[in-house]
Amino acid sequence: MKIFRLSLFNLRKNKKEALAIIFLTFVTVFLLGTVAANIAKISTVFDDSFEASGSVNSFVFFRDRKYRDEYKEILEKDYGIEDVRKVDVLFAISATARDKNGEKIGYNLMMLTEESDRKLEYFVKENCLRDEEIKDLKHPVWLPQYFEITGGYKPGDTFTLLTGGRDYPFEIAGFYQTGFGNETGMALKIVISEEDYALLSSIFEEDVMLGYNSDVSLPSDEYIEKCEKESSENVSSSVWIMDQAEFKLMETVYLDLFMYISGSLSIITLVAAVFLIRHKIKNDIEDQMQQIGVLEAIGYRSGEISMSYIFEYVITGGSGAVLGGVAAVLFTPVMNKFIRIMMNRNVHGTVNIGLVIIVAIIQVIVITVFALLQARMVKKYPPVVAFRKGIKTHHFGKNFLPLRSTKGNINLRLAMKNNFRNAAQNIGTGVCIAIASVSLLFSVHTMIFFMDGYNGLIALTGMEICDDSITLLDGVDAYGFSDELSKLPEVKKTLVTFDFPVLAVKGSDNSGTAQVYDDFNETTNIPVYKGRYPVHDNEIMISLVRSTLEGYDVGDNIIIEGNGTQKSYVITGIVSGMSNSRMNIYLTTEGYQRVVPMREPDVVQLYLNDGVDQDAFEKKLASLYGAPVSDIEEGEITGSDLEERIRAQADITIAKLIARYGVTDVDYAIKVGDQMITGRSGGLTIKNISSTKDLAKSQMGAIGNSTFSFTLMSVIFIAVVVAVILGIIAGSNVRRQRKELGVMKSMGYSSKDLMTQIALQIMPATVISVVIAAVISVFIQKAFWFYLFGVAIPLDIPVMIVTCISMVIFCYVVTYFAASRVKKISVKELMTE
Amino acid sequence: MDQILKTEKLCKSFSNGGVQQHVIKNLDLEIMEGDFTVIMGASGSGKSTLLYALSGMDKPSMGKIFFGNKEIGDLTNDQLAVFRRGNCGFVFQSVYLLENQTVLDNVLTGALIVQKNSPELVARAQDLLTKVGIGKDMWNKYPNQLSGGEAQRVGIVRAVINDPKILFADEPTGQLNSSAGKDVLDIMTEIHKNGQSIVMVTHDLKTALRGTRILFLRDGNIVGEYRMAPYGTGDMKERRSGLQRFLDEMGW
Repeated sequence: MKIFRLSLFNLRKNKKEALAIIFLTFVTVFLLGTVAANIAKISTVFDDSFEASGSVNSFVFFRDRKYRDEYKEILEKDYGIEDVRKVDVLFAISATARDKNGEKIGYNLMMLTEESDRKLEYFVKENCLRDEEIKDLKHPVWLPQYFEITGGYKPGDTFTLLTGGRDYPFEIAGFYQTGFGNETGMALKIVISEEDYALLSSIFEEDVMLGYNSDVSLPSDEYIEKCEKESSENVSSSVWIMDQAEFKLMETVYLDLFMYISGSLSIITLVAAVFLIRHKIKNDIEDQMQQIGVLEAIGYRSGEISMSYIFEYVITGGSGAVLGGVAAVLFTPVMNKFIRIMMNRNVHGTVNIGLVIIVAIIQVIVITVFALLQARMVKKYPPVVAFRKGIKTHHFGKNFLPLRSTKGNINLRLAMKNNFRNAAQNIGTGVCIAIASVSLLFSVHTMIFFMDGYNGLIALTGMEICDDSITLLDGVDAYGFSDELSKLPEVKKTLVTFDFPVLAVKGSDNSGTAQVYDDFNETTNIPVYKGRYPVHDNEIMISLVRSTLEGYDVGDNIIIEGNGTQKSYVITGIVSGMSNSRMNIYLTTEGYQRVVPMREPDVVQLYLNDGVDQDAFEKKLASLYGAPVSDIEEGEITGSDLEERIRAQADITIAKLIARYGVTDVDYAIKVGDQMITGRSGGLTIKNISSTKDLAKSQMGAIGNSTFSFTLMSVIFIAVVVAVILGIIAGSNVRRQRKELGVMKSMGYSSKDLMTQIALQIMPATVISVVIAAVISVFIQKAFWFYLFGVAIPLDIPVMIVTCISMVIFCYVVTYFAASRVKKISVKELMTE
Repeated sequence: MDQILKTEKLCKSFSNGGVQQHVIKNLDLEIMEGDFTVIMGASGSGKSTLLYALSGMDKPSMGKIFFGNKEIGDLTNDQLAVFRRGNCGFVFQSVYLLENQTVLDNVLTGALIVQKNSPELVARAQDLLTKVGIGKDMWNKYPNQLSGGEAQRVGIVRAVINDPKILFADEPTGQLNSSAGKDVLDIMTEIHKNGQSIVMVTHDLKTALRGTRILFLRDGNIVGEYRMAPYGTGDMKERRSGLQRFLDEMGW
């Protein structure tokens, strides 16, 4: 009991240190408890939500009207899959909508009727209008929860699709729980009325989805090969094969990432707490040496005295752990909200208190063990040694940095001399600062990367993200069109390419989306990670992920397959890019035409000058080159006289023929009374205009913003933890060196001199740790970005240097001010004690 | 002799459990250059408090302290520290050598805050150490390897290395045996003979005998003053009995 009182006495005596350790243990248990309790929940939330939706767990989606019934039969016969459900959907790639603020945003949308959706899942309605309200809606739409949670829509709001220069407003009947189609990476699935489906089917491409339940993943390349063999058609670029596990990965990857970062932060605080405890016990024992001697002299065993120190940290660590555990439990609603926002799925259930308690217990055990190990040093001091303040305080060793050879500032010299005395403390401080610096460098780098929202991610796509991507009708000369466009004052640059053809790679399960350009030097967003751009028709670049997974390197040969042809290419470069499953391949136009000789470029990519109004420019394009066929198809028949109305109807008909049936050329002659109205399809040039930037906004915007916020919080958190650590170290150093500092004051050293010395003392450990951390962080960041995004992030050396310097300055400033308790040291008190 | 230190209505009080204790009360005092002033008095009379106030280690509650013509009572703590650098040297009862510094480094620590390092400075430190009996073989020893007397001699060298205008000493022989104490006092006497002004607090008669001016403090004020010739001049028995008589009169 007396020992316990001694613990309480020590706690009362050093309240700030006790509070700091409580804070660190609190943060550790809070973070680790939150991570432990929620990392399992993230997985469960997705699975539960998927299951509750009643969704099939796998599907094959055929785009570009490439579906044939034989493909369904292959699934059933060759793979033994039962109950394959065929569903018609309207697919709009990069459809433009207006967000809640009225700004344009691009989505990949799948539109289907309620009846179709019920073939794939239960169609579980969540937040919605009352039935009688829904009945009154002219254009009801059911949106997946993404639009409610991330989009901010409410039932009754208007959801507006933009196409052909027209707004298509839908009234939101409500939101529904869906297994897939709730994320922007592939497509969002919206449910519309049969009337609207019929209407929009004249505008958007009608495709087919096959849904089924299977415990094994479909071997996609094999299946596609079978389909192509069956139909003699190239379908590889028009098929998406996905299953529940892949959707889960897409929806949970960022949440898992945040959890791992939080877990890392909690490790920092745990290491810091353990270091502080060891440091403080050592200082306390040295400080209370004579008191220890007295206790031993009157019969206390060293083990009992050690227990007083251990009790102290069981009390502080235990208090922090209990508070952290309670906070982790109370934080559950916030975490549920965070998970809901990140996954766009409703979160049910409570926190796993058992896991939180286990984390808290482990924390207390770790603290107790380390306290025990350090407190054993009491054994080294029998009473006589303790009375003499222990041999530890005596010095017999080498005199490092003798003052007789001082050059320059005496404060720096004395600080460095003291630095040699505190090797153990320096190592501990260095480890804490190194861990914190690695996290800081990672967080700052990531934060700055995402500071500009999703623009940072765009730079990592490894493909051109232009303002407008114009897909031309068959037969239109892309080069001629590009030349004309490049002369427009609004246009900064044009690139001629293809509509993202997909080519197979021999010996690989991963086909590659081809990025094809005449001259890659003209591209903006395809940086070479290694090697050089392809120049000749037998040269190719591949993605970094393909290079890593499939073992290709610059100089190797790779065989590309297309239209039954195989051609060998020399790899000239590696590109770091996260788009198209990270499996892009990069070819010159001539190189691409080696495997697909009949195909001509059909896409012109436009970069507009700064400040150009994109809407106005697209209207100008329509006035110059005719509206896109996709817009004409849904156009209205307007005009004041009969001839104008007939021509408008003719244009719509031609557009439909071109868009739906692959017709390349149409002439017409219509006799009205005595008048002959003639026309041809040559006036139409543009098949479709899309904005990849708008699509990127919906796909990457939320991730960019949340990552920025999270890393910003991490930076602040690290700063607080480092400040606490250094504050305690500086404070306890002042206490330990009280007499020494007092004597120096009597000699004329000012408080500022002494604070400077104390701050300078930690500088060698800080600088070395920060440099080591910088090197380690390069590897960690490279690994992180590669495994998460498949890219090699360009390390921003100036940012790293500035961060390192800032860390060193921050450590200096914090320690300097934390040492300000030196001001309270009175020489007079020192001499009268 | 010129006046080097002067107080006007110096007061120093402490709050103890809400009760004000007035330790120094309206004290007027002049310390003259070249004097070896000894402050004596009973325990609790305010000797040490006066010493700290005079040396700028503590601030007065009221009143003024002039060091030469400069008033130091209003200086901030850091300004006082800078002031002490060139003007004051301190010899403590408990010595307070820096345990992690060698003998030579202890001396230089006090010097290098005032002046830049130079071969002359190091030579002077070594010379002073030699003069007080700390030979070359001890310069690289640590304080824990010294005897009490040796440590105090190093403390004195550290105090005078910057040629301070006043050397303050607080019971410098209080923790030494008589032989070591005598050595220390001999050194201080020698320093005084070389013109060093000294203000020393002691309650020991033998130590006080080294002074030239004895001030007796009671209840926070100087109640008696006794002057003596420099130590070593005149008859020692008479010096001793004279001081004893003075102290007896003071009720010591």
